[in-house]
Amino acid sequence: MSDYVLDLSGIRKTYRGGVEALKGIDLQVPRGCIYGLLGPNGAGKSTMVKILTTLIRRSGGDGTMLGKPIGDRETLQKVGLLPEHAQFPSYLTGRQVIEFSAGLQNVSSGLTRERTDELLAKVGMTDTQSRTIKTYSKGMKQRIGLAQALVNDPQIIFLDEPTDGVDPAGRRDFRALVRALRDEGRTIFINTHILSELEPIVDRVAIMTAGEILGEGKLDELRTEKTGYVISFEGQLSSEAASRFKEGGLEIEAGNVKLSSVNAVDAQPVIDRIRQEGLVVTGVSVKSQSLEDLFIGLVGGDATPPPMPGAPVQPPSIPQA
Amino acid sequence: MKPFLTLLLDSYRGLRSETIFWVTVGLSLLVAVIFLSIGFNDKGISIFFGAKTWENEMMVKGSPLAFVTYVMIFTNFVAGGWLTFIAIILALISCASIFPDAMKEGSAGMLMTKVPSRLHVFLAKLTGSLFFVLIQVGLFVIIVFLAFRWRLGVWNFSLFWYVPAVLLVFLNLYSFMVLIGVKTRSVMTSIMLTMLLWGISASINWAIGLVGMNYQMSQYEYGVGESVVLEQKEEVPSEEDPQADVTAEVEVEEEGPNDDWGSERTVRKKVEGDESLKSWIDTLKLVHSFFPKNAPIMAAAEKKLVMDGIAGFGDVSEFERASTSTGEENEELEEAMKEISGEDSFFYSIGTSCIFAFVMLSLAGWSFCRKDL
Repeated sequence: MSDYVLDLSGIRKTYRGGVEALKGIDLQVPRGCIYGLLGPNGAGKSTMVKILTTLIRRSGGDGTMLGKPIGDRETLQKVGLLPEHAQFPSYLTGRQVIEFSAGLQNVSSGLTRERTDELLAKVGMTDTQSRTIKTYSKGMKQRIGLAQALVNDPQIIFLDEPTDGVDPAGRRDFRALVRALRDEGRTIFINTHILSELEPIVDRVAIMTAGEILGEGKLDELRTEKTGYVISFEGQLSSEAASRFKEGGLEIEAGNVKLSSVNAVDAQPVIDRIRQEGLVVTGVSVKSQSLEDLFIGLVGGDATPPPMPGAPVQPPSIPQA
Repeated sequence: MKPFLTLLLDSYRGLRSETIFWVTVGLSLLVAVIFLSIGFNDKGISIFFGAKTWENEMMVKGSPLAFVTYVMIFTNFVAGGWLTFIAIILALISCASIFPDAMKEGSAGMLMTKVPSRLHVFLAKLTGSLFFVLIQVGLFVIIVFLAFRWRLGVWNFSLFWYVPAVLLVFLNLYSFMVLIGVKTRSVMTSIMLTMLLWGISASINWAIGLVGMNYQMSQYEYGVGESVVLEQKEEVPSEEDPQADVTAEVEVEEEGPNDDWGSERTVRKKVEGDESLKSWIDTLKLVHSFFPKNAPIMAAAEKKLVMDGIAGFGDVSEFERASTSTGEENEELEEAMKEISGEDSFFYSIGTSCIFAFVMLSLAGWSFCRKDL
């Protein structure tokens, strides 16, 4: 069995009218991880999920999901989906929505009853299960949406903007639930633009814009590309030192010198030089790039995309005194 | 099977949740009960279960005229008005949103990403809609069936022909509505265009009848005379086309009241008809062949009801005595009317309507299965 639950190659989608939503996506998603697909609006994230769940037909490319070609109906029995802007029949109760989903996924009646009770408890909707959907808040609908996505005991779960409209307590519960699902060996594929939601839980991310993936990998690996030491000091650097730091590719701003390296050895010459200037070093820290920084750095278009994980990283050239 | 049944159950729940469903059921029952309330007693015809009676000694309980009146009330008002138009319009409105709603972004994610294929979803939604109409019409016809037994003392099983007839008429229109709904995802557009289609089809059907009647009239010249038969030519089929219309023949027939009444005899002379009218009829019929034929389908059910109803009346001789023409004359009259109205055969109407529905549903299903959602 392949280690990848999703193995995509050159997936393209061109809508009628010539809009190219996906420009040849290559993606491998390992089993049992939380995978985040990040990107601004219109990046093609939802298109991608819709292709994988047969809502949209791809224009080109190939791939497998759970070892079967994309679009295989039987495979969908092992897939859960919480769509973006999910609309459940307003005349159904919360419980009926889950049972409806179970019926469509051919789950036996006994198992449906058992799982529905369990899932309602998991998403904290046991007390309100008998109310119709139209009386639910957006957050409650999302909870029920999550429960219906899990009723068929899926191996891979697609969550498209899952915390949209969910309150802080709900988001915390959601993160805990997603972690628990991963621990059970399931793969969770999350589409979101709320980066702070993803950062604490995600194992791997792909950053997407304009139908292309700009960066993909483990979050820590991606962060390495942009993290480094920040050396803080009191006083004013001489113009000669400042210009030599800049020539070496260091950033200077408001009493801080930033290196694009996490290697402590690379930081030593900079500290020495600051001291030689007679200034007091007040702090040395490793700046961890947030997911948001990473996202904006990649998507913002102000820099060329960083090398993919595994590519050699050039240490900064530190000017010697 | 379970996913299909789940979809059917959801269709039922969906319809049940709509106000218009209950309005339609309520109106349907109301019309059925009003019909049920019409009856006959020793004095004449009564309504509202005897609350109001119109005295008429010809129309007392058990009389042939009572029978004819009751059947006519049903065919002209209940079937002709309610079943043929209002109930179908309400059913179309009730079911109009089923497909566009299923294709909405959030709903499609719930429905189309599961085990059932899109074709299964399509068929389940369609079956659900037809089931809705079946329930409505079925209940209605059962009440009417009981009314016939109660009021006329006959079990007229021909009434149940209205169930497939109404279903077929609904399917004809609904298939087009589904196609438009799937293509545009707009409920309002699908309703409007379906009504337009219905209107065009009915107009063409009406125009065929009208032009046909004018054509028939153009085949005769009327005059006043005294002789019984002025001239009679032997009909000789043309060598070129043995089946050619005999209107080229000239024959003279007599019509009009007996001289006993002292009036003059009307003489009808058959001549060659207006060919331009005939070409109009052919063109209109050709165009109409692409449309659903709702009126002929309902007319077929009505004919079945009337004919079988007469047979089931019991004392046929009494009915025949009450009628002014013999069975043979009835057949002749029927043929003449058929010729005048340009009425097509029952199987032609059913067949072309089924083809229409099949083509529309095939296109709709194909689009539904392939559309990006």
